[in-house]
Amino acid sequence: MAILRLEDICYGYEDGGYRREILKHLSYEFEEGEFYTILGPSGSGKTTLLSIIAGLDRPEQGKIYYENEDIEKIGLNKYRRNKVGIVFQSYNLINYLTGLENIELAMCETENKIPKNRKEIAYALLEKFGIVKSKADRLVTHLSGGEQQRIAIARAIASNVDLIFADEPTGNLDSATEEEIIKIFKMLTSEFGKTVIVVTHSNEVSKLSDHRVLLHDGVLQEI
Amino acid sequence: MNFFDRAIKNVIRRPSKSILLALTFFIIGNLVIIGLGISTASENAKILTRKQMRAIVSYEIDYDAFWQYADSIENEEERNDLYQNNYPKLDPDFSNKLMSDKRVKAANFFSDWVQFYGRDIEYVPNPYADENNNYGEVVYEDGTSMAWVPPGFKIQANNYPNQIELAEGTYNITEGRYYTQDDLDDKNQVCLISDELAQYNNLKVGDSITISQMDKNELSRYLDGTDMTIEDFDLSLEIIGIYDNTKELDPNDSDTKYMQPYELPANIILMPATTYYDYSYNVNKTSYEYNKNLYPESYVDYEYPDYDEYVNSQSGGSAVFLLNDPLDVEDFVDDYKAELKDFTKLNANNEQFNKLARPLDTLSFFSNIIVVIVVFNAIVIITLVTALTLKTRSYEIGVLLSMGVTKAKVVMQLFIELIIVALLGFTLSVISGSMIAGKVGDMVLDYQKETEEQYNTEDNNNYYYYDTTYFTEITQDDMLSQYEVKISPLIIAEIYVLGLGVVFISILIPSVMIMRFNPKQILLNTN
Repeated sequence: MAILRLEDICYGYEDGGYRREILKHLSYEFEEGEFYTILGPSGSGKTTLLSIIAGLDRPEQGKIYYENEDIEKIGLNKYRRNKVGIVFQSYNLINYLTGLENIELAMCETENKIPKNRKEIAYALLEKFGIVKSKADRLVTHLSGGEQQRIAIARAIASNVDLIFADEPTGNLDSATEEEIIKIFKMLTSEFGKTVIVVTHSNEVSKLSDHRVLLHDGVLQEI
Repeated sequence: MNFFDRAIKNVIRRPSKSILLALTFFIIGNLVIIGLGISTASENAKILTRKQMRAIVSYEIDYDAFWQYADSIENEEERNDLYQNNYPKLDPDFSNKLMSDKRVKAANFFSDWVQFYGRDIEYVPNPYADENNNYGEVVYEDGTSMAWVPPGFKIQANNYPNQIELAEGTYNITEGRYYTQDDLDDKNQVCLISDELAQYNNLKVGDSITISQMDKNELSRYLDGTDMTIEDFDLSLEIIGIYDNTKELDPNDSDTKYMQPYELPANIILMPATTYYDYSYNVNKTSYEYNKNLYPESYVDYEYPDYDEYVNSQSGGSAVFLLNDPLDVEDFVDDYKAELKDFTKLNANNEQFNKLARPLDTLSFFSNIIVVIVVFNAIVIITLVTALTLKTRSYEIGVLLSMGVTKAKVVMQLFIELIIVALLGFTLSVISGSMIAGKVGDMVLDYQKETEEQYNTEDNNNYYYYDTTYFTEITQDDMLSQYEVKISPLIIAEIYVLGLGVVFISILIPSVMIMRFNPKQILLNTN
């Protein structure tokens, strides 16, 4: 079953007096519980596509359906809050909060059902991703890049969503850490049953995905 | 981890930013407290002084305006006509209207204070009189002379049945009663005498006394050869009340020994003004007729006035009203000012009060201006600081928005952060402001007084004394002694409300900026 369906998506922008079409009548379906990587050369529009399907931006044309419901009808804010989790290259954690508090923040904002013992769940989630309690209680600025990215991934699923987006999640990490993060993404699908869509340049990441999708000339093609 | 928790954590975990902002609020708070403290103290000093003053409003002839107008008339005949036929008078109807106002407690609308001689009653002598007092003598046209005998009594003849001295307790009725409206309406020949006078003459309520406006010996000179008798000029009054006059002679006052009997508090007789008018009208008519017979050529153009006209001419220069509440005085004057006839005024001692209050008014004015400037600047500063902070916090805001946090919650977080810091700054400023406001207030007031004294060469006499004596005598020192800068709970509440207002207004522009934030753009820029 498709968790996310893209229908006739078009997007472009003005660049130096010329109009550049990035997405051209793009249609695609992402299946539930699968791990997707979206590949493509720089400037092909990968991040733009991710922004649109994550509800951070709107397509100029076309519709996006989450579990057959138009995300515009859900409301983009609500969609981001309750349906999807986003992981960025530069982690995007709130830097005056601890790792644990960043997780709690996501739990608090969502309207999804979260058990009352949030703190325990957050600690357990972080531990699952290799962040021990002592580190979870530190301000995120006092953690390494790899640790921050683990927390960012934990935060993405903490709100009990089924769809995780990631934009170059290993871009700022060394190769050893990259490997650990890839395993975590893999674990998200295998253990947590989440659908993961990662935009990446990394072959290491794409190799482990269930579907490798190329964004080329404004449309997606599975490779 | 809702917006409230995030706001608290942001304030605590970014101490340098929070301290700087709190310091800004602290300075603003101190300035506002000093301003409000001084302004409130100035206003309080005026209110307290007003409360200490008697709540008196005097309806009186505006002689200054009248003489000024008279001087402006160049034609002498016209001017003389003004003096003779259009001399300003108080309007008894207007006075009655004032009297019927609920704010009025008592009123004295006297005929002019009139001296009387006793016929069957002895005045209480001045116990401190100088034995060598010589009142002088009266020299008549035929060259004969006679020692001048001072009148023994003074009457207070009031148009209203509730006299100020009784309302205020200066006079206390110890026996009998005061005259009523019926006594006034019926011109009853009744009076009240002091307990001292009653004791001295062995009089009691129900007894009668006889007094006259003219000295017996002097009068007998005029009555020789006429069919008039001394008794024709007598006024018999029934004593309906005896009162205690709390005003006593001051033996240490150098003037006391020179006081004539009628000036003594013990020799004041209270009676209805209508009774006095009736007596006075008839006595003067008798005199008029006597003189007209004697010197007919001098009275060719002069007819004796009818009773109403006579009464109007006798009703004195002022009607004094005592209000229940001193703080009503200004409103009372304002309410009736428009109805005043030419050359009359309502005097609440305001000119003098305002003059004495000038340093306080100046203080209050400038401190209010300071508060307005500080609050305005505070809004600008806090708005700018918050707006600039947004620039550095756009990344954080972008993250929150990308997580689906609503913009309203982001604004609320910023608002709460400012409120927490403002509360901290203002609370500290309440403590320090309370300590320094008094000192700054005193310092500024001293400077203000010095400046006032330096430039006020025109009329530097701050001592005020009004000839009716009904106004309370106050000095600038009396008023300024009431000035005390205290930071009351009300001022503290004002500070917090003002602070809340400043924060609220200051967050408006940043809020608009946040509403325009696009999470994708922020995150793209950051990444």
